[in-house]
Amino acid sequence: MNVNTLQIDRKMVTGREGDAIFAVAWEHGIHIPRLCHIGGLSDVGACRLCMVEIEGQKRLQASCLTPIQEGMVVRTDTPRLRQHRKLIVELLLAERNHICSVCVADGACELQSLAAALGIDHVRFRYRFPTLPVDTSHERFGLDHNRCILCTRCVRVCDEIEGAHTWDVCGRGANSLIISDLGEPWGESESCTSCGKCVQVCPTGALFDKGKTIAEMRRDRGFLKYIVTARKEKQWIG
Amino acid sequence: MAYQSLRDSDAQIENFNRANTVNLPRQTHLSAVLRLAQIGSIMGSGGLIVMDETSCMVDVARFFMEFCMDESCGKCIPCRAGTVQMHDILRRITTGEANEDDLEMLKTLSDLLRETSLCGLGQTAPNPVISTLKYFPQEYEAHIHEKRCPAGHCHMTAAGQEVAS
Repeated sequence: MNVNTLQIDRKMVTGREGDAIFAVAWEHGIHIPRLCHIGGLSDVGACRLCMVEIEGQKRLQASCLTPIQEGMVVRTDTPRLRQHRKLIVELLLAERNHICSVCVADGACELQSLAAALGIDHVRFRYRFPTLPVDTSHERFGLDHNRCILCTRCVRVCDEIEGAHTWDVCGRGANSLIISDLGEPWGESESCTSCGKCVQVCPTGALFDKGKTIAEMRRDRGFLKYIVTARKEKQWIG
Repeated sequence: MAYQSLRDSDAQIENFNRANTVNLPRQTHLSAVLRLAQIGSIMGSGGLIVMDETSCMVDVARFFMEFCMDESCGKCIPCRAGTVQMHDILRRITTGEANEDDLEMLKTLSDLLRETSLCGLGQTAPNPVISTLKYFPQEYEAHIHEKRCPAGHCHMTAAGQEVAS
């Protein structure tokens, strides 16, 4: 196993060759913000929140998709990056209806805590307030498109871990929507195994357990690490 | 500034050349002399659009932003949500509803899209805004401060007039 040494935020760190900057930074206590990444699933580099500055490169790079290199000098928290991250979260908040006070995930929402961490106390954009449906056709779970940030974690966990590929994205641009099967209501989906993995990985209040009311939705992500490690090690011991 | 000088006289073309390092001698093949990157443009599909003083540059920027907004795939946030907000600001400038802060936000969003978008569509989406702001700032200012379209193209709405008063 080859090891690379690099500098992240003036700290000398080491990581396995081929590891992403993001993973190495988190291992060393440097918490780069993210919304689309979740440990155990493939990365798509869609949220653009984990972008970092690399010395000698003009362009910013998504740290979740950029492998480390020997001698690399990375900065994860500069005024420019902070300004971009703030703007991206503000864009998300204005895009759909993220009203925390009536959301199941209030208090345990990644979008909410990120906005607080970035010091966002108001949104400088006009709220779009699109009219989007809520799918409650499934007997145990619900999907509220108004809270969805299109991170596609549900799509990836269903495809990569459960192997069902019930979820996907339809439409494009601002009109993109998460759909089950070919657009059928979730409850009528033939591929869905009702495992609930998508509900556990959702960063906001878009996917939720039925029966949960405001601020009651809490998620258990432990299964992801357990399954991924067990498959890799071929050992199923809890 | 740019189109006025191109239409007025050779002396003014010279001025434009000196300022922006663009050489347009007559009878010369355009692609051979245009240094596109230096004037804030790209080759793209090789198309060329000729405009005169009746084209409103803010509306031109709005038109191109509408195209990028429609073409955005929606995967990355800056492009998906950023083009929508930039289009909204440009639309409000053309109807006279925008203020100075909107102009600042337009510049801030241009930087965000250029630097953080996942692919070339989002990275180049703000180009028409950046170059019209660079070469035709007075057209933006006329729309925002005087609620007037110098090209006589934009129709200022009642809501826009209210902002002015």
